[in-house]
Amino acid sequence: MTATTASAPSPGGWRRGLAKLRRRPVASAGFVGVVIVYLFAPLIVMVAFSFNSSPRLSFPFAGLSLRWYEEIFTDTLVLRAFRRSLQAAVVTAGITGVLGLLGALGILKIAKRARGFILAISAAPLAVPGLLFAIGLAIMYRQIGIERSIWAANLGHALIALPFVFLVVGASLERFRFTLIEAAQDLGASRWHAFRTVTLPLVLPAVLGAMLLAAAISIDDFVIAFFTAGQDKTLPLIMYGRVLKGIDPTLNAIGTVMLVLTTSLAFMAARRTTIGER
Amino acid sequence: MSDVSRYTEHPAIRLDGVTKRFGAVLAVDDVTLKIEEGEFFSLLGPSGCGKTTTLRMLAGFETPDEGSVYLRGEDVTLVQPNKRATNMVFQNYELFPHMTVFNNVAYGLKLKKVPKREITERVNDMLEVVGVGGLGKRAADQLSGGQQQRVALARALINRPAVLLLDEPLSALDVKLRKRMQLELKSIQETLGTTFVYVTHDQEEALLMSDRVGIMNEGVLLQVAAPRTIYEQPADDFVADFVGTLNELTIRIEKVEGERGLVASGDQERIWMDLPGGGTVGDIVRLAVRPEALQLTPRREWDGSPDLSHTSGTVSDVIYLGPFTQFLVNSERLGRMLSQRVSDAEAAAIRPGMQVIVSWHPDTAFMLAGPAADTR
Ligand SMILES: Nc1ncnc2c1ncn2[C@@H]1O[C@H](COP(=O)(O)OP(=O)(O)OP(=O)(O)O)[C@@H](O)[C@H]1O
Ligand SMILES: [Mg+2]
Repeated sequence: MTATTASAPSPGGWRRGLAKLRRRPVASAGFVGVVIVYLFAPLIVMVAFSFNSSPRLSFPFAGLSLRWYEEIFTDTLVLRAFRRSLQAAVVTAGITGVLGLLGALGILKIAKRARGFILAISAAPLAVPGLLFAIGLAIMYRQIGIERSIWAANLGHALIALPFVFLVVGASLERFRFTLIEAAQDLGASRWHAFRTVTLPLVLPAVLGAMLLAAAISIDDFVIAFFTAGQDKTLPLIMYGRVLKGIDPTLNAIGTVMLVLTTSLAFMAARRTTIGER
Repeated sequence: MSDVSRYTEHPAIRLDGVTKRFGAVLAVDDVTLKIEEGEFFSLLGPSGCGKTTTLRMLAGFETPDEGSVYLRGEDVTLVQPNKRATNMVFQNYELFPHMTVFNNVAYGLKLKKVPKREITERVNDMLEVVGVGGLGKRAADQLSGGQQQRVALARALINRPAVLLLDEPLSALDVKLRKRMQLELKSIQETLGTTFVYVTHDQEEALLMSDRVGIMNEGVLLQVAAPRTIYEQPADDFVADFVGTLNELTIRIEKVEGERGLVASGDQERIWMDLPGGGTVGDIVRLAVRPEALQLTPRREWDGSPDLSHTSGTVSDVIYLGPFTQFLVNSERLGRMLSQRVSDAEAAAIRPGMQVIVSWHPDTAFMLAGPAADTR
């Protein structure tokens, strides 16, 4: 394995390239700039046009206005979808929070080797395309006679969010000092009291963080809802419907609202889970 | 403070043939032990000898496979930890990091539904006793090691346990603080009169603090005695070797006089030993002497005191340890010997290469059992 051909890109070559870039700060700054613009341009365009007073989606800007926001916040269809999306987020967070905590607690009672296996299994869905889950769910719901509804979609969201929650909560419990529980019991606490006063407060930050993450995943989801929500359309489904009819400036406003929601949820989730790490 | 008198008819703790296995590992092997009310008792032994396991069986975190545990005469073998009148100071303190110092210490009292006013009073008193008064409002994860140690002590003691269990509570502290805490712990124990069971692998600590010491090895309790007895009359080789440093001398008896054996080969050498069971010329015995029992005298100053055991040798190394100085001596007959004395002018006069007489009082030496297999 030592003889690499000259043409094969070796990790060493990569590293050398990076090192060269690092030595030329202007070049590397330019490179990073391009990547960032590429990553964020669509979002920037969307946010910018959501404040454009003209319905024409082209530069130059006609002027600043909140008319598209006014429009979506008076549109009952959009509002209903908005409420559904929020409901889905809350329900998903609730289900995954409880299941994630119980599952992670349960897993810690299992022997170390089996634990790794179970964690791997539960993380496996992360590698499966959401589309397959969505189709599978739709077929299964049909089989057992569950109507398409927002509740059906909720269960699907919980399903795709659970591995994330499991991983986050599991990682925090992995660092949890279980002798703290013994200390509580030693001072006279029953198992339940020790759980309530010691375990729970200490893992709660991580659980809350994981729940916020689950909420963000739910709000963001299109595929599961597309196959299982039926007429209970969530925000992404409404947007899809509008896109089919042509790009409509209200899309930018809806998109911006979603962007703010999901990024702030993700941000809070990140903060929670790192604070939980002491 | 504690209601000691009511229980004096029973020992604070009695272990009766207690055995604990973890799979194939025999962690604690048939330990029988009594610890009296108000005693400072130490369990001393090398790593993995079963000290923590023994302590955890006293606390209720482990259930013995065989035997029984009694607390003030009551069989608590199967009683859960939260129902036992024991409290523990954990090795890593295990303070609740999300609570203040006050709430950590108050944890046990709140569970007992002690009135709020009384809790405040008792917690503050206890924080004073352990020397962290005024730290009550501090978050428990913002304390130094020594402060954590004191809070952990307060959190356990405030429940007025029948027995306080301490698992190497000072091992995480630096030497200086550890020395101070040893004295403080001892004085707190004397003030409160609480029974302490103290686990440590530091023999100096155990000897310094305890009323009695139990020495364990490989799950077996080898000797239980007062520190002086442990040091001066160790029950067996392991105890002798584990507690303090030991010179092990392998000697062939050349003469027997009543109950004493003698190695005599001129005025430079004469070694006495007690032979309570009698002995025969030609027997090979192992004699142990502590380094501090060995006196060094420059050979030309030796006045040949016949009652002292002595042998000649050459100083090979001088190790200065501050208050003490150690000397390595090579003796032709007995091999390497370690001597230790206070660092005074006489100690300073002894240099490497010097010809010396190593002498000791025969009573300070004791016989080791078993054949002279592993001579060091
Ligand atoms: N929960 C457990 N599972 C399996 N083996 C254990 C367990 N607890 C202790 N042991 C084993 O039992 C033996 C005694 O352990 P113990 O912790 O009582 O030793 P110790 O004297 O406290 O040692 P140290 O000074 O290192 O703390 C060791 O061989 C240890 O590996
Ligand atoms: Mg231990």
